[in-house]
Amino acid sequence: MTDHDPLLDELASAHLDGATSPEEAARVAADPALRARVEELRAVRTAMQSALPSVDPARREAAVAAALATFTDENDRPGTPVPPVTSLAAVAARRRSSPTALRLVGVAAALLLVALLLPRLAGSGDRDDETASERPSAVEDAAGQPAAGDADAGGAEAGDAAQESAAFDESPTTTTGLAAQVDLGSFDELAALVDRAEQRAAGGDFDAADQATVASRADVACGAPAPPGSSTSTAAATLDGEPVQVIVTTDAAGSRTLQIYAAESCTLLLERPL
Amino acid sequence: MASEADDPALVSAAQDGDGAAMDALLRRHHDRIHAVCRRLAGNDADALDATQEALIAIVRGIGRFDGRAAFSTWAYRVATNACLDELRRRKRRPVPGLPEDLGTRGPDVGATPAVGIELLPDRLAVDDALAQLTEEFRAPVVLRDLCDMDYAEIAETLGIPAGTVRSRIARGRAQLARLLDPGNLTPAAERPTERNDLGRTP
Repeated sequence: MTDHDPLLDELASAHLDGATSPEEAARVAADPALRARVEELRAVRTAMQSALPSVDPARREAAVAAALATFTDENDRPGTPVPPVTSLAAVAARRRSSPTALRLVGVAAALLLVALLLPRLAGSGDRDDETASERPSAVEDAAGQPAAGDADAGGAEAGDAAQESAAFDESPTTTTGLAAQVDLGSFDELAALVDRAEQRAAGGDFDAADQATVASRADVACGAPAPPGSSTSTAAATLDGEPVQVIVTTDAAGSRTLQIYAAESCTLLLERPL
Repeated sequence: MASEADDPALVSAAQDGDGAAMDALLRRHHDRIHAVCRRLAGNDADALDATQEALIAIVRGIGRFDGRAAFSTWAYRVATNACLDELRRRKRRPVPGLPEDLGTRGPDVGATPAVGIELLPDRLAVDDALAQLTEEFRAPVVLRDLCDMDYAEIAETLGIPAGTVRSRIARGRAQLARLLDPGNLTPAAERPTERNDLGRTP
């Protein structure tokens, strides 16, 4: 084959795709060399379309089954926060894919669940009582507990600053989702969020600014209860468009741990010491 | 076999959590998605894994599909990105002890021998030729010739201008033509093809 003019090749290729203007089409029609080139490119296209190996039916079944397992898993998942290890293990048991893909399963599943539940939790950061009382929590729904606004009992543990989040004041023992809290911002990458959280925690303003709204562990929807003698600070953020909860726990010895959860599913996305 | 005209109803049911509808959608489009991944990957082993990743990505994204494009177009777009992501990850994890160009090329475990024998020379030649194309040329050609995407759809999928799509497809095809030596290719009219008529104008 001889070398071809790239511009004429582009014309011939576009003509093959039916993407030429009338003038270009006329030029191709009038040029035998261009027409021949169109046929050469057509033969290439046909070779690529026709030389595909067929799919092994067993492998097709396996691939579809794996995807359906994910579909079922995500549609059947209850609103109750699932322990992250259990969740990932369940996914892992269904799939035999690369470790990277497996890690993404947990993250993607959490984000999808957040997307599904987000409308129900709209207003969780609102501050008026009406919104708070109408806010159904996935956790509460699953546990059969009363909505936060229905609870008469409870203390004022959250303090004055926590008046921003009246529902939590009224029912401090009920896990209700995200309190009004520091918003670290929106991030496309988990690493960027971690950097920001570490900066805020290191600078102290993460804790100071947030402490008033997290006077009790009840305001922290995700994660295990903090052990005696430890304190917890939390902040909100958005990761790839989905809400996450950032938690810093300081134990009695002063060691601090950063945890980031998908907010609604409470799937642990990251845990590391600070 | 049901036609793709049924896709909207199946999509709607799948978005409501109907597993049977999701199953039907996946089966209906599996082979084409596998073909895309096969062409992008260049070998069956990677294509199988990439296909699975693609199907899972479709399952996860079905709730966000808004019906503005055909489901097949959207699915191929999702599949393409899933495949490319998977292949890029693998590129960063070369298989020890194998030459680079064979590092991701396993046996053709997905091929059906009875079908493959007749087409084996062409298939290997096409595999080799595609493997020599860089991703920037391979992906547009695959999306055009296998997925029947128009230039605008390819542009959106790959995040490049439509004019760039046109030129990359042309350059990709030209490279393939040189690598495959079209003089030895059987004329299109005499070959069994999955789709000779692309059916629409890009």
